[in-house]
Amino acid sequence: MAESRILSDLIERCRNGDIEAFEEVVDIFENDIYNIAFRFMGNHEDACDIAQEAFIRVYKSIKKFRGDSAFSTWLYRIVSNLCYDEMRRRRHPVRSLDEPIFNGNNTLYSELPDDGPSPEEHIEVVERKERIQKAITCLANEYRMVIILKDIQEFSYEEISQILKVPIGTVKSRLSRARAQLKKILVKSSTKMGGAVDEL
Amino acid sequence: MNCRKVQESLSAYYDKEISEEERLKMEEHLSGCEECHQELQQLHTVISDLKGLESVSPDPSFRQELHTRLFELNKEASPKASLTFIYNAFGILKDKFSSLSSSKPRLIGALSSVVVMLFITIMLFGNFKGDFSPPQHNIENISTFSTMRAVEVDNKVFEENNEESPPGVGGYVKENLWIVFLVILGTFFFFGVKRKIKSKKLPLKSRK
Repeated sequence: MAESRILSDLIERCRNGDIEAFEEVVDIFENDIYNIAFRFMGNHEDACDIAQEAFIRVYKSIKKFRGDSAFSTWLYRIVSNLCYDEMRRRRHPVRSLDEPIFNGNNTLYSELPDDGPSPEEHIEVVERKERIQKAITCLANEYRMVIILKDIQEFSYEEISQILKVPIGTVKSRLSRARAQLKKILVKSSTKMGGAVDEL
Repeated sequence: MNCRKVQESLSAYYDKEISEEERLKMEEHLSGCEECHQELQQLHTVISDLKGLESVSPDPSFRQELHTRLFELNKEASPKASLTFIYNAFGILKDKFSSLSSSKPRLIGALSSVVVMLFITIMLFGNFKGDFSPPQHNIENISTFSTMRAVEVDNKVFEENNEESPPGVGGYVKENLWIVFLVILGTFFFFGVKRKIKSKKLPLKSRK
């Protein structure tokens, strides 16, 4: 992720405590950062908290940023770590990456966030896109992040490997499993709604 | 290639992240296997759905809140502003020094000698009043002076200085002092270079 000249100048100004320059940096990354946080957390309130925290952290530690990796990589890493930390803090049931999300007895709905009168009723009224968003939040944290970075933010394997500090092979296998699980979840929810499997 | 292997690689195949050889094998299998072909179709649907999710933007209050928080952070830091300035100034000096010392050890040797020289000059010439112009000396001769000689001359000068020499002798004393200082400069320069060469051999501190 090569940094533009404009961005490196802005970063240099930020190092000297220039808030205006920092806000210009925020302008560049705000939507991407917010989008990652929103897709990961599944709601605006949490996305807002995480994106705010990410920018505050960057501002506080920009003097320590040594340019070992691209600034954007560093920023995306901060936001992904904040997402992981938040989920850990909430003590969501820890699942093994290799364990299936739900077993044959359809435990999918019990794992959805409890935010409606009944999960079945709720899922019947949500639109397709919301259904996809819900399915994303059903995935284990590491799968969720890799799906967001690849299929929503459209980063390359190489970039994801740098952001998450994992080998490319890990990115590849996580992505493969994440997509397979997401497909299963969507097929299940679609069947539950009476839709055809092919439609997903 | 069996179905299990194909389905495992389907995701990488979709992203074109597999070798040419593997791709050909997969395509051969996919053209003949209905189940795997359907898997690929479903994968395509899921990925298209994900790509179809619109980008969400924060509402304007997000920026207002962030703006306020940033200014609060700066306010917190402001009482320490002067300290920070000094700290940064030292930081810059340190950075400059370390970058110079790694690239130009000779220059650092010379610079440190000049600093010490200036210090000694101020110490010794501090009590001299009136105009003072340094006499011209051949710098090439300086390298022949040893440290011992420097000390001797130094002591001699001190003795002469303590005798409170009459006005006519003053010029002579000043002239000798300049030789002493130039000798010390040469010595420091020599040691400066030696030390830098030594330190260069040490392993570099690993950067995080």
